[in-house]
Amino acid sequence: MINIPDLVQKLLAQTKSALLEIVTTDTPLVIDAVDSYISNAETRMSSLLQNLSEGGDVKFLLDRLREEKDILRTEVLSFIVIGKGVAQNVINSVQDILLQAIASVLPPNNVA
Amino acid sequence: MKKLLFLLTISTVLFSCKVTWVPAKSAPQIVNVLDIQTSTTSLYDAIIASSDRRYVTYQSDYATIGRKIDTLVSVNLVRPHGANILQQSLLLQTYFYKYEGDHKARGILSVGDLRVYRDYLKSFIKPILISELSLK
Repeated sequence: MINIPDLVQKLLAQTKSALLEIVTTDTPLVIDAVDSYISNAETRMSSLLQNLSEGGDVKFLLDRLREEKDILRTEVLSFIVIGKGVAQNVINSVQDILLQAIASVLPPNNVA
Repeated sequence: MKKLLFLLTISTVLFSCKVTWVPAKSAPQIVNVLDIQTSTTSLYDAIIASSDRRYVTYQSDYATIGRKIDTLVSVNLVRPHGANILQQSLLLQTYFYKYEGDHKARGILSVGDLRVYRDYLKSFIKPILISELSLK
């Protein structure tokens, strides 16, 4: 006979553990990305200001500032990739846990 | 009991389909992006450090990097679930050729302009690298 409360409890514990592992692995990646993008933005602004102070063209500066939206776009795209990857890992981990739980209560012949 | 077993079997079949929203990690792609990052920065640093900043002197170096970026785009074009990284690669391609085109049109660029282009291209390459490294 299947002990449903016991099975659910096991499932929840395993799911929580899997989610914590994923969050612990992927959070530093996001923090590093943000740090890197802020640092790159500082470098870009410094270069632009230095260029202007050395007699650089204002039109050149304005053209680059207009391109900032595309840099932001590519940075956001990287967060979308990271987010999709995290969601994919979460779903697949939960699926694995559910699959294992289901397999453990099924008679051997019924396991796909 | 039979109903439960039936439901469990159906669930097992359903759950055995893995979700895939991002491409698989690709070592060659990471190497390619790192190569583009290094060669682009090296090219601009070399032009900045040189007394000869004419476009014609660096035309072949631009072409070499351009080909690497074109390869990156082509690979991502056919890569399953690679739509976001493809968009990032296309942005890099657009701006690399735009800055090269400016150098070609003006013949010589100032050190300040070259420094800005180098830093802007770095900012287009880094997010691609972060996307690639985040893949499992």
